[in-house]
Amino acid sequence: MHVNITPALIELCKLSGILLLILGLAYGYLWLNYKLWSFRLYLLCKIMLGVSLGLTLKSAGSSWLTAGFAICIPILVGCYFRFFLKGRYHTASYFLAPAVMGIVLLFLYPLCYEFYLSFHDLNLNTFSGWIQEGKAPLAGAFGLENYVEVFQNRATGQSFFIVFLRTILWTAINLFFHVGLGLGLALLLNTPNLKGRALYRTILTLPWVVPQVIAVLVWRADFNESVGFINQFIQVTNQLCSFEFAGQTIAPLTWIGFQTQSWFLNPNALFAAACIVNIWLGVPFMMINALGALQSIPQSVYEAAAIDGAKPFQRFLHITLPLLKPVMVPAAMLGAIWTFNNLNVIFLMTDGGRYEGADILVTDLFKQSFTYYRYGFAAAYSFVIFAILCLFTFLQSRVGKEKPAAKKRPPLADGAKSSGVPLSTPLRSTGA
Amino acid sequence: MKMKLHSPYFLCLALSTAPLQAADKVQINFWEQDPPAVAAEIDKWITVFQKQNPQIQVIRQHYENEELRTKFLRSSVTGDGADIVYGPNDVAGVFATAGVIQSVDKLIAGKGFNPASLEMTKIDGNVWGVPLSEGSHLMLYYNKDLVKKAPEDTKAMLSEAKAFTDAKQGKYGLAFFQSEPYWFAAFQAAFGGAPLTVKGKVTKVTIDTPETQKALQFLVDLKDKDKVIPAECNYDCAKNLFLSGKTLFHINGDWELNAYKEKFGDKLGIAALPIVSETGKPLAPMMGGRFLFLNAGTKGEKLEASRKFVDFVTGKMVQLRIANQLNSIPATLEARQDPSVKANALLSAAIDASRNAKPMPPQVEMRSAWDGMRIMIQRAMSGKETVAVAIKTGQKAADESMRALQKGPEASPAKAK
Repeated sequence: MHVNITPALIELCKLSGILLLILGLAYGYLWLNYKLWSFRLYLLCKIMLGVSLGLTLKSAGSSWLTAGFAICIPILVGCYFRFFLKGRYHTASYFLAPAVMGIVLLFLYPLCYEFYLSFHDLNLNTFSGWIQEGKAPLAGAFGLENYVEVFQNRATGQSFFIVFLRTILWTAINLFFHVGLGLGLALLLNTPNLKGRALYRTILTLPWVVPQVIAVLVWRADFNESVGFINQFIQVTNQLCSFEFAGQTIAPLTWIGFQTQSWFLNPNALFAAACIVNIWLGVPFMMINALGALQSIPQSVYEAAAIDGAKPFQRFLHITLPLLKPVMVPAAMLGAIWTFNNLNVIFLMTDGGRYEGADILVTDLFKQSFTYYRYGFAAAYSFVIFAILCLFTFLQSRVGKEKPAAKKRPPLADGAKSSGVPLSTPLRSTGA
Repeated sequence: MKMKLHSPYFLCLALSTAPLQAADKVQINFWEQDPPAVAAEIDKWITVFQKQNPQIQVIRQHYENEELRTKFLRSSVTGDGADIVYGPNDVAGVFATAGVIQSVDKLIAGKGFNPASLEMTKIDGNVWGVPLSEGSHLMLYYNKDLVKKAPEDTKAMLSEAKAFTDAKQGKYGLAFFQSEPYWFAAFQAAFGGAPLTVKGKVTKVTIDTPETQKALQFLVDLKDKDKVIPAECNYDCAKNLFLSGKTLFHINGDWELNAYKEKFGDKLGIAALPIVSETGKPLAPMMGGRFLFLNAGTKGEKLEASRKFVDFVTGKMVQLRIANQLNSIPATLEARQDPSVKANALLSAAIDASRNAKPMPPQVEMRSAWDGMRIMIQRAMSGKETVAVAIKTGQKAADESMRALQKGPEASPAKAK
């Protein structure tokens, strides 16, 4: 078959040209600002530039949001140059300019647009008005109806609070097992003189290496009630290992709580299955992080503690854990945010939302947005999720905030002085 | 050396003049969502069309199913979408309600399309898509080594299925995607029900009805009473059971025809779904098809070029290729009467199996019906709810979803005409 790549090459050239042009304009703009920032009418000129740019865009058919954005940007840039930069940081500014521009155009503007949309009733029925006139009606009297609706009950069992609680449970369970199992495996791999460490590490990292989609699809087949591996394993193990006890047949796996399930039709089982899959996928990431942190702890610290008489558990509690904290806390926080926002696993395990009972906030949001075409509502919903995540991050940063070093740091043990590792008083006294 | 240094400049020159060479041609953007084999066939149609119409250039672009839908909606806002979208009938409701396609009443006049095809995209009296092929209907597949003759009714089918079933060995008399409402719709129709009722401009989801309750009870009985289907079986499970010879009868769509034919050869049996003995009515699956949709923003010479392309692909030559090369049922009656189509045993069997099929309603509210019925089936099949409660749950979910879909000013696809 004849394939013509010329159109693609032309598009590529055009795109590169546009990017270079934008970059050139940005640098020119930056240079001009550095030249003119001290000029007396500088700010006035910036305001005039912003207003004229915004009005031009508006008269060309743009929405007030876009026009407002165009008005604000030059004014904000002007204020920043006049009151903060004051002609300093030339080199840094030139290096940062492309990234800042990317963030403004590709993140900040869409974010503002999404916020604007969250107050409007943009759905399938108002879509043609949006195309033709760039307008969508306000959602309710004050544009707040979308936000109110987020917290109202929706399709059977899908009330916001149930989905929210499930999301919290989902995040907590996954995070607990990711960190717990990851740390446990890292400690095992960090055993001194462990033979075949590289091989074990490779095997344990495999879930992280396998593409998530493929891994979840394989797991989904394994959870099939009739022909899946999980149920068959439970059945076969029960058959092979069952025994008579006090006149009753004891099937060991069933006895300890593992039963064959309709994994997809039973909402609780489906949620459990999704958790199992995500735990399996997420452990290697925590394991690699913990292993890296463990390997960076100097052996001399353990030796010093051992000389002081610290037992293995005390060494773990007072050396390993505190020194793992700077690595594991950010990793756990990242893990929590990823898990909270993990669309793939739930989406694929529920077969694209076919099976009910395992939806978390983001999958519910996806459904509202792309199944029911409620773009305004989905925008409001995404801002609610954004606010929840911001709140969690804020709380986490408050809780995890280090107390002032002078108050916290206990006296150092002799052997630990060289590395500056704090050891608790009991440990020191044990060794004395 | 000098030549090497100059070569990038020549390349740039060639690239910069390329648009000029194509400038006098009218370009039509054509988006499709078909597998590579079909896309290769479409390329052949485009090649012939471009030879016949040298002033028109058709640029084909492939997208996946959901991507095609969302990207076309999104690009309609920016104005850089496709001029023609080639997709399934169920996008008609979404596109027409959103006002991103134009009605094709003038284009279909006098073309001899099967009337059922036109029903699949007819909303408020206007047709929104030009049919190219019909299909996506469910059929009864069986292995001729295991079954001598397709059963006429469910009584005969269940009697054979019960004899074959051995759950311990993973063998079941019947296998299909049992929790999916598309399959359930065939049972619902056999008991006299329908997922949607349209009266004028009022569309209602009709799940909580005695007919649906009977149909759902029949489905649950297949699992609990007759025990001829697995406790749970999704699409892949059902297909694998059939391919591995572990099921006697298999209900699946015509889209698997080629794959099954490849596996079983002459041993593949195809039949229309049987009659439900209890009601005397056949299991009536829904029927879909592939349609061409014209962008509401396509005007002037582009619209004229698009019309020429639509005329070309609905002509006899392409319709026969759809039948004989893609094994799909052509949308025009003229092509169906062609001897080459009648001689195609596989296609004839598919056409015969479609005799009881009903056109899928194009209304966007079908989305709510599907979602409500899915919840209903899952709850009843898992035993979480009784059949009587499950139909009420399904209705409630569908009504809630429909309220969300119908929100805003009264939706009328006619405003995009």
